[in-house]
Amino acid sequence: MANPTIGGSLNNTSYAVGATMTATITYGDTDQKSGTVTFKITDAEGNVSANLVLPYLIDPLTVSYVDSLGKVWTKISDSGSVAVFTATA
Amino acid sequence: MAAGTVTFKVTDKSGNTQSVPLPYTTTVPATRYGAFCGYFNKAQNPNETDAQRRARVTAAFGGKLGIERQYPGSGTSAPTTPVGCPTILSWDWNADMAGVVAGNYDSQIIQAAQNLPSDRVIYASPLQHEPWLHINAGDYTLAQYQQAWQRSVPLFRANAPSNVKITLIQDGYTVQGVNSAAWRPIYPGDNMVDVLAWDCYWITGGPRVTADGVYGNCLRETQLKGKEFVVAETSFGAPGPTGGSGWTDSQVTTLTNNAIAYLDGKATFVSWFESNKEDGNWLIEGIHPTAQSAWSTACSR
Repeated sequence: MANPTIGGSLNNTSYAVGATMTATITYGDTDQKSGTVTFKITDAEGNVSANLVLPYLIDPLTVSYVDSLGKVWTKISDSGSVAVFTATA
Repeated sequence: MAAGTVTFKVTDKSGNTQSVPLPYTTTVPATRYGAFCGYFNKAQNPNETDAQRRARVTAAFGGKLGIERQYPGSGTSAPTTPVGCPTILSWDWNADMAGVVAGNYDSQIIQAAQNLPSDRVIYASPLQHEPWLHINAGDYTLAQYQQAWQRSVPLFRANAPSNVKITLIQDGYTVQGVNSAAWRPIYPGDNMVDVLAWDCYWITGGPRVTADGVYGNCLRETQLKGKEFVVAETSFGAPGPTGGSGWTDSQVTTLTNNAIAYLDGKATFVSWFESNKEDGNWLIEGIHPTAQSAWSTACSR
């Protein structure tokens, strides 16, 4: 099993109190794979049902944070590989 | 300045983790000082116009106010502060929280927000300031205030310009001294308030005789919430209806100097409660000349 990877940046390093801080986090895992499994039913006469398509994700990832000043970071968006968080300075 | 680090961590299904630390600093802009310029009917010089009051108080504090506090009551007109002058506002809607919750004031709240200018920083409390004073007096309940906040803030935000900061203005006495957590039940949530402001008074005897006793818990509670810190009112307390406070010019000068020394670099704005009204006289203009000079120096920055 590979370790996940993470990188990130803040839009600034110094903020005036009350300003919006934005963190952009990129993350991934080479083990992570997404796929689908498709089921169908066929009867003795050869009639076939509609497909049942079930997506799955192998090795899903979660992103969390700890802030030393106790600031609350809110996730604004998350594509599955890039997440954007904001907090108030 | 405060230095912090936010560390983001990614974890996979097997519990493998990687993290990235992102250091940052927060700074408070130079603290700006100003005043409330009075408006009460029973105040000294009740026949003054708004402009005359502002001119008098501004002149008394050296010709410039870094911020001005106003109380629109239930009025929806634009504030009368000068162009560019940061302004603290709170509406009371007749202290009728049940009416706010019922939507009786929706149109006025919207109008007040729409009339705000975009040329200055505005700290706006869409509801009455110092709510605990009124809750404890039975004017309305905590639940009513909370519900009214939840109704009025989205209306206000949707109609105000982007320079407006939603500001919860609390009674400083609720946290001054021993019980810093007493105010917390009223906190409406991080997304419903931008700034925490406090009305803080110096009282002889008890915990409110030092700058940390007057402002310290307000500041710390604000920092705990990660919000901007503003002092919406400050002065000496309990002066009585005739101004017989017993405060000497020397004492008020010490008070103002200690307040400025403590709040510099911590608060973004501080407003002196320069008013005499039916229940007290908080003026330093012409009464405490050395203190007046000290505050003028702070306002001039």
